[in-house]
Amino acid sequence: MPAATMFQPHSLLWHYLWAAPSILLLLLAVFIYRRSLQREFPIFLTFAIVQGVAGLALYGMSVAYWHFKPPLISGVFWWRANLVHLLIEVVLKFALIGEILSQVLKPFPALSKLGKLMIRVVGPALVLTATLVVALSRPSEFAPIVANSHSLDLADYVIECGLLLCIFVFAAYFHLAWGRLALGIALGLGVAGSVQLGTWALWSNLPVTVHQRTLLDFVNMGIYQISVLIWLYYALTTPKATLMDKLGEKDDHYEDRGSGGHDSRGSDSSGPDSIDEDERQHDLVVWNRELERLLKR
Amino acid sequence: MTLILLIVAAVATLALTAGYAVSRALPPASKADLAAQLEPIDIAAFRNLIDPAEDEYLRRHLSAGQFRVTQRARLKARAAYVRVARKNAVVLIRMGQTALAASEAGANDARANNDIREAALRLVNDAALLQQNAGFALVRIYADMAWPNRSTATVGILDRYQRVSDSAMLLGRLRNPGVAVRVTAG
Repeated sequence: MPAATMFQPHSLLWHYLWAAPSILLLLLAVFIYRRSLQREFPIFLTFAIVQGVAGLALYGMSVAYWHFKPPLISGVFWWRANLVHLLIEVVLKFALIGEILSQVLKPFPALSKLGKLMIRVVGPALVLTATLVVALSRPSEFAPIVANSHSLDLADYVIECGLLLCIFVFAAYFHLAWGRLALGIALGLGVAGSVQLGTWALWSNLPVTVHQRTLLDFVNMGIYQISVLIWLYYALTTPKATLMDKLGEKDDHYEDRGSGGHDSRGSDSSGPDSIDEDERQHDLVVWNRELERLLKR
Repeated sequence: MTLILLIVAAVATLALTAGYAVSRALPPASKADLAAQLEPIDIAAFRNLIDPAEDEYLRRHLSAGQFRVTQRARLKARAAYVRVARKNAVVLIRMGQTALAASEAGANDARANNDIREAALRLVNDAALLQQNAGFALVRIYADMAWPNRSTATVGILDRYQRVSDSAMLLGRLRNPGVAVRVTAG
């Protein structure tokens, strides 16, 4: 089959790129559940299920519109459904980014306050930026419901990329180690978000032809497929949550409440390594005290 | 213009995401390599440099011009100390992360792993706090360099902060006596 024919709407490739990520997302949800990863990433599980189901529903509606005479649904109905899906997707994506940040900061309570402050400052600034970007884009030649969907897509990717950039820069500055799955989720979101931001930027700011729009659609669908594969890879290669993990978490909870959990801060680990660690620990405490004193002067 | 900015943002996100993934795939530095990067610092000398009584003594005994010159030199020295402290904090974070990764890989028995994990987490948290404090301290020092004679108009705010910090420390101790609270200076 010639490549030009493959890059047409309703080609085999088009059907595959639309339907396959949704099926893979549902498969991903099953893997997350079977490996008990939903305990740490409940929003990611919800995201996978909702995106999978909604993607298949939108694909089914598209088939019902294009492949039946007369169409089983109207075009306006499909766009309304798409807009509702977009709104849900935006909320879920931001919740997912919040989940990534909380997972990254979970072992570092010393930085969680600063991380939350960063999101509180950057979040509203990004919303304002996204509004400005949408307002400055070319007036759309499409019907209002289609134009609104496109604007929402553009704003979504501006905010998503901005938040991900902040988290990556924050983590890089403090050399924070990411959990395997948290890194995978951020990687998938970052790859898809950045490419789709680029394509929506072109779409909203340049006079693109129908053929170019179709190609941009293919790029978006292709990159989404890649990001779903990234999530699948990381979910499958993340170690399964074990019973010991669950018991360990319970211990942490007891320590948080101060109600009987063991506290090994005073444990008598011996050997030259632990002496070195103790000395460095002492140095850090002294240095922190001196710097705090300097800051409070 | 909007298009260019958006494309730059998209490329930056993609590059950073890919860079992060690649850097994670690289093997971590060994403990010996990291330890060699640590630079010892004289804490007593630093304490002397940030002593407000010293500043006040110099202010009283030097002319305004001489004080500005001396104070700038002292601030430069302060900044050098803080930069080294920040660099050491980064090295210690990486050492802690390496230890954490080793404990998660199950290099020792369960009890030893747990002890190492606890110690590493404590080290990483304290080092991260030090890095954060060093960043703020550097901003403050550079601001002071621009205006070495500045008045202590922030003292009131800082006093309030001190009170809030003391309250937070007291509350923290009451709620969880076993955990050291490092909200305020000693």
